[in-house]
Amino acid sequence: MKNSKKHKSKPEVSFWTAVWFIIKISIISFGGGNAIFPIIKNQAVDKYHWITDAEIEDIIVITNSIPGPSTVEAMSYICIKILDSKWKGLIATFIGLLPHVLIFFSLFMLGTAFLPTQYLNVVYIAVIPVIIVMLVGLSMRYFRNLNVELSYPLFFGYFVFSVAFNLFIPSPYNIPIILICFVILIGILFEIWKTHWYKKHPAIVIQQPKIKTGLNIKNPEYKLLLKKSKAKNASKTWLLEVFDQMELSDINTKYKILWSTEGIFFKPKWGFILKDVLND
Amino acid sequence: MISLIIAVVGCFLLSFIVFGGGQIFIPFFKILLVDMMHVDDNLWQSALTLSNATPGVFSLKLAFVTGYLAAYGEWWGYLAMFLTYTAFIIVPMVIMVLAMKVFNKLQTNKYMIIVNHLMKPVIAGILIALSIQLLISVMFPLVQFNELNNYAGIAQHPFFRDWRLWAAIAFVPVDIGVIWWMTKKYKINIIWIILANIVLAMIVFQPWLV
Repeated sequence: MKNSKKHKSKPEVSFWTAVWFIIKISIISFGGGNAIFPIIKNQAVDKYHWITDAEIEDIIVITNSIPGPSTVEAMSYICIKILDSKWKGLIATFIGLLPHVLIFFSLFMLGTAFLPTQYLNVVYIAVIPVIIVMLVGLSMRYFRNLNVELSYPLFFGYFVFSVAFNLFIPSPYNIPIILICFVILIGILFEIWKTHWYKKHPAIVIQQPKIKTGLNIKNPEYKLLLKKSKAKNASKTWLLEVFDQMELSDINTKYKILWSTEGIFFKPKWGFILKDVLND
Repeated sequence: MISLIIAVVGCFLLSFIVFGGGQIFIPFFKILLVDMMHVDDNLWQSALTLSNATPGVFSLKLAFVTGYLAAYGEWWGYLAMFLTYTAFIIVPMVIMVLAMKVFNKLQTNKYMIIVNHLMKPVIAGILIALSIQLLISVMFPLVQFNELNNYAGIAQHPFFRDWRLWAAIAFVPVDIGVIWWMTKKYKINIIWIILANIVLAMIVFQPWLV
């Protein structure tokens, strides 16, 4: 937001476009809360390119962990961003959310007897399948950097825990903030313990040299190791040199072999960890 | 006038203490309206039914109607509802602006990066769980699952019963499959998909028949 203040270029989006954006979304959104995000993502990211994919992911994380209705928060963020001004953005959100509230209020004044319940039921059963498809599509985005940021077992552990928490803890106790606080607490404790563990059992990192010299594979144990290391692009000869420096039995029992662009890691055998620790 | 102050302050505080959105706000609004402002129970029930049935931001609609109910039918209720609306909406706006500032500052913090990585499976889980719950609510309208103060139950739906119940069970999975295929293959604006789907559902469920 600071950068956008510095260069006072003309906002690309007009005030009423932003207002219309909010009116449109508020009128077609059924399901409430997080169910509105797929529609916001489809309109603001895919159609108008106002915000990026990474931003919408951040917005979902932030609005779920701060108090207040998450929809209003997401909409005010987008309006501030596209109108390039805090006041304009907040006023646009304020005005844009009024029409659907006024529709609701006029129905309230008419009384529930005049409510076309059966038509609203049909609209609901038509809108929700679209939202379900888009929700699944949106959640797939979080699986992209799998095994880079979090290892598979950790990711799916937290994922299954999160699904179970939302489905099996009775409402209203299954609110996201409890889940988020719990996972952060576990995650940070785990991280502290892990750094401690790695101080005791350091990983061996060997840089890959640029010049490769010839060597023959004769030892059958080497072949096994080569298969295990999954070194797709590493030069086999260099790997053999590395294995020569270490005791074979040691490699097999104590270390898990990982290959990366920088070199080969002999990671102490202890499964699921965040990989960036290895780079420290 | 005291009821107006209670309504405005109540809406302001409600926005502060409740996380997330949607149905979570119901018990809090019930305390504010029925227990503190002594609003007629029928009015509360119809406000609840209507905000559930209409699209949009659930809590915002209830906050708006709170201002009207605070006047007990007097003329200034029409002004008071804008006051409670403002009191309710101002909180998330300010909090969001502050949260973005804090978030942008902390982005390079070591622990913030870990938290960010941890949040990915959690949010994915929240979204998948939500879609499962939504799927149950449309595909099996007679089943209540993890709704507010009603963990599980079976009750006949006033509209989706008899042939419409079977139509819903058949319609929803086919519809989801078609939408999935359409969004994968063509880039159609989602608004058009929703509108087309509403027309299709109208033909299938025939709401004009009793």
